[in-house]
Amino acid sequence: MKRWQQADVIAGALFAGFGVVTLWVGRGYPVGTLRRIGPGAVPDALGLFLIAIGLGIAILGLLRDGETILAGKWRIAAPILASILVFAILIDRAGLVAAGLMAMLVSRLAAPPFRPLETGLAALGITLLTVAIFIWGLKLPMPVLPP
Amino acid sequence: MIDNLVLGFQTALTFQNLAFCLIGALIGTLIGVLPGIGPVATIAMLLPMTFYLPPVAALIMLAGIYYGAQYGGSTTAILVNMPGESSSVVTCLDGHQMARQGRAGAALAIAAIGSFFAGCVGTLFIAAFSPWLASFALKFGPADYASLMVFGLVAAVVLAHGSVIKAVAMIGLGLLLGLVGTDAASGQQRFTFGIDALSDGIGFVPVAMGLFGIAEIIGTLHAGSGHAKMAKISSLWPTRDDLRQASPAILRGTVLGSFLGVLPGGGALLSSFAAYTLEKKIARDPSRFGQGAIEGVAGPESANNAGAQTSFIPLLTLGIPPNAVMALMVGAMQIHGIVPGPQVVTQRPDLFWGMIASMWVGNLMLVVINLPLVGIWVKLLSVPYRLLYPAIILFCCVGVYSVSNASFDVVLMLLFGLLGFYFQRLGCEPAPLLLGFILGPMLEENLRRALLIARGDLLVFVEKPISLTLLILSAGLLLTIILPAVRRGREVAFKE
Repeated sequence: MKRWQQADVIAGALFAGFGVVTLWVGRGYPVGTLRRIGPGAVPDALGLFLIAIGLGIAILGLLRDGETILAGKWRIAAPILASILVFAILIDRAGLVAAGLMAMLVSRLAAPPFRPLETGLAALGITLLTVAIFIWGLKLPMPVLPP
Repeated sequence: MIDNLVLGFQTALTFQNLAFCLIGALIGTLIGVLPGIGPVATIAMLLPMTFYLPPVAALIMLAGIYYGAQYGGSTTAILVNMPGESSSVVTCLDGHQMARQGRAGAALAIAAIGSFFAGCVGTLFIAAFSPWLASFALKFGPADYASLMVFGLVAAVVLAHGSVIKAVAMIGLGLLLGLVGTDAASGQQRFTFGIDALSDGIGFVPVAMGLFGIAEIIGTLHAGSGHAKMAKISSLWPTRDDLRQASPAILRGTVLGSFLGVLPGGGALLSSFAAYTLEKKIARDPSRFGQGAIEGVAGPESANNAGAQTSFIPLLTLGIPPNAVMALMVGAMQIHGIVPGPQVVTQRPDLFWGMIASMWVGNLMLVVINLPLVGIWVKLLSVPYRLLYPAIILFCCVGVYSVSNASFDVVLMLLFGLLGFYFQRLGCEPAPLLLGFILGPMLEENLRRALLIARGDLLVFVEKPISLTLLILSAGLLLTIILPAVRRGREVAFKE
């Protein structure tokens, strides 16, 4: 595998990237004096720190045979993450029941085979359980049904 | 000390606190048994709901979840060779072998007895040690506190497993993320990109649930959930020989765990690994280990309970969280308007001693309840994971949303889930990020105050003796990583 694909190199690059972004976004924050450090002081310091350590990790990764990046199956991660997004979009617009059902159906895609009947029943059951615990039991104020 | 313990038990034994202790212990055992969800995610999820509870009850319940999970994890480790909790991994080695030999009952009983003994000793240890430590910490100035936090972060990284340099980088990232929001001292909006919801900073509930809940679910699905064969439980009682062999191991594990739990980065996980290594090293016949040596269950199980309890000490006396769970407890205290630190002992003695007493009560509940309920816990394991994880995801979403009815928080949880998952693929642990995140604002404030008092003199951090000592210890710890002997030792310890 190419050197630059190794986990350490990518990780190091990411950290350094975060550092650069920090320094860029925070370029306007006043640094202040040593006696009265301003809002920009610690972020700038951390930004520099991240750049340094990120470069260090990346360089070490290039020199040695670092760990290979573990296979991340997006087929698994994507439905999970998408389901959370679905929930976030629907909860305010359609209420807990709709958001919960849709979220669970989407998340189920992460573990094929899909088995529609089992999934549908489970989603229904879990949603009802959730409503029972959180709305009736804990009396949390949140939209349950579509307005 | 007796007066304080009396006060503690009076607080812990009220009906309400008993009830919440029980709830916490049961929930803890439940999630300890279930794979794919651990105490960090659960505590993060229940944290916002504790807002409606009185602070003592809330903290008692959350604490119960943590040490309850240790009990639950050992059950599955012994019966199904699946560690429900990371600290139960070593229990799988000999515990499951014992189960295979038909001695599951003995293993479970020894684990429970060892855990309870360790819980009792741990409680006494906390009661004896904490007030002294708290009074010592009251002498700390802001420079000392800043150095203490640095030491805590460094030690957490060095003692944990995995690449140290990547963990340090994660800490740095966490510190940075903790600073997002409005700077209290100057009113400057930092890294908020004009988003209103960010002006109060990133909530730690979405961060914790994303990093530890969502990322863990994705990880578990990657690993594939196989259903291991379950061992049968015949007789529940250990033989006299078993007890004779296990008792010294229980003692050793308890002592080891009590000390390791206090250290930053310590807690249940480190204690159980260390105890197993110790038992194996000093055994007369080390080849028995891995074949069903009862010391391999007794030692680690006692150690992880002792470690879980004593890891509350830095939290309750210094206000410094030694691990991810305690970091969340800091958040819980803050929600209830309690400032964590050495003044908690004197300002809220009911909280401090009540928590300590309730930990003992919780251990008692767990040992009494768990053995009869083992059958139920085990039945839960037969629920296929594909039905379980959507429920966990939904609970996470609802939990995060309920904090301020903000779908933005749910999106944040998603982002941190993605971040946590991706970084784990790259070999970077999420716990240091959470620690840095919780400590970031505190570290900056202490830094600011220290420099203000010292009128800009950076040397103050090496002039004050406590601060200097802590910084030297931190540097020393970092250097030991470079020593090949230590490096090999860490790798060996975690290879098993």
